[in-house]
Amino acid sequence: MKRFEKPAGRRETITIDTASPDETFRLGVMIGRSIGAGTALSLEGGLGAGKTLLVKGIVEGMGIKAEVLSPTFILVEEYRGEVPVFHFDLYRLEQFEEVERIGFFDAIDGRNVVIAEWGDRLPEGAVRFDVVVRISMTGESSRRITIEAPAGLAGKLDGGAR
Amino acid sequence: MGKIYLGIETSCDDTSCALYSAEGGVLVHRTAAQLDHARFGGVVPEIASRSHMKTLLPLYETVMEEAGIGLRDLSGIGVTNGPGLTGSLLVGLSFAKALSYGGGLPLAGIHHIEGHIMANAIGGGFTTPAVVLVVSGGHTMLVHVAGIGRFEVLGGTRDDAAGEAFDKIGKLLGLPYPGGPAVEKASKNGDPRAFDFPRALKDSGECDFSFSGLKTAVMLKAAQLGIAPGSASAAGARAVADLAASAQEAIVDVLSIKSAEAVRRLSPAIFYMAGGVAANGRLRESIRERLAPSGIPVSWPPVEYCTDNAAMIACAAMHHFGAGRIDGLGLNTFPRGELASWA
Repeated sequence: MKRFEKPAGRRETITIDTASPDETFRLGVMIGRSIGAGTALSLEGGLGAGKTLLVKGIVEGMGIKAEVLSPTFILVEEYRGEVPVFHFDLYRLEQFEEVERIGFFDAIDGRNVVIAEWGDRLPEGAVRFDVVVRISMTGESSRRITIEAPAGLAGKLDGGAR
Repeated sequence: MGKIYLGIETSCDDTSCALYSAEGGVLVHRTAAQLDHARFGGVVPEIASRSHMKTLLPLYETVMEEAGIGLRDLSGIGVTNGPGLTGSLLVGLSFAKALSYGGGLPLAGIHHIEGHIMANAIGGGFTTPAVVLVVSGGHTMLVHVAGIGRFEVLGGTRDDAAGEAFDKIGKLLGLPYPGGPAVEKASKNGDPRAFDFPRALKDSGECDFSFSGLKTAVMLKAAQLGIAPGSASAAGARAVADLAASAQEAIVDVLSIKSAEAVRRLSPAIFYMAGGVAANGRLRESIRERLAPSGIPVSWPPVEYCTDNAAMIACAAMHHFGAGRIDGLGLNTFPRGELASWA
């Protein structure tokens, strides 16, 4: 099994509550502004939690003009920008080999930003994601979003959200 | 039998090959999932059936054997070269190029969506100008086809595709996969007016769609009613049927309102449907109702050519060759890209 290793630095978990889809989108924009090439993100949370919406924000925050659609069926979308973004959706995948075959590990090469919706479907420890975002629904349009990230990045996001 | 064209489709999950002629229609159409497993030296697990590289050659051989023809009997080859997964597309395209080179046959690269649209031509003619609603698991769009090879995308989804919405709603309600047919079946015992689910962008006046919010609304309503996926009680089954029927109605409503809007704007000679969701009976009925006042006929391909298939690719290729358009061996794949006109 291929593994993606990174030196483990100090990590922090922050929690942010958003009251509307617009706020969730803006949190995505903030994440997009704060990350750089080589970042691998996992987005977790059930159907309808707002994962694709968050990706729309991240891509905008990275300064990329692209139409972000749910890649559930097409499995991966690529958005070209100064730092290219590979947007994967692991929802439909059942076998680990399938994840390899759609080029997931090839995309994590330090030059791109890789975003995996349903990253929690991967076997434990298969990928060490730099940023893990968990979205839970607290109401019709409100969400509780926890972000586990390297301490510096988490601090920046926490500061920006307040 | 006239001129025979080979179609190859490997853009997503399944591998398929077909032979098509104007006179005989679809002569043979096979997908990897249907293949005789003995050819692989045993049972093919699901994963291998998706592995285009292993399945394409035996699939091609099967199709040619069934038709009782050889490479020299072909008049051309059509292959999907995008959009889709690059690796999968490359397997199909490389194979098609090899056959083209080896047999001295013309090659046509076909946009996957053009293939779906041209599935409507499999039975014979294709009327233009047409408005086509392409609805599948991966795509939802309205396309104006001014003539064969002349496309204008009128609008599409901003988030989830309609087929994806069906599948995910099916999953939320604990229905079997694939969700589209399962939601339609469950809907038959339900009340489509039981819940008033959102019809996003209904009145936007544009031909665009959004189904992401519907999925969330269905989930919240199911949770509120205490529906756990697979709940066996009679009350639970009733609620699932009502939720399925109301969700289906919301999807169908928006698709048909936007279709009617496109028809009103463009006054085409015909309205076609394409893609897996075009097999949905309620959608067909609703579009017929909405378009009835316009007097414009509504048509769709046979069910087996609504979902991904190679027959539509062979048929589209025939139309490319008919217009004198042939691609060279320098043809490449494209992972994403809008449907562009070639005529």
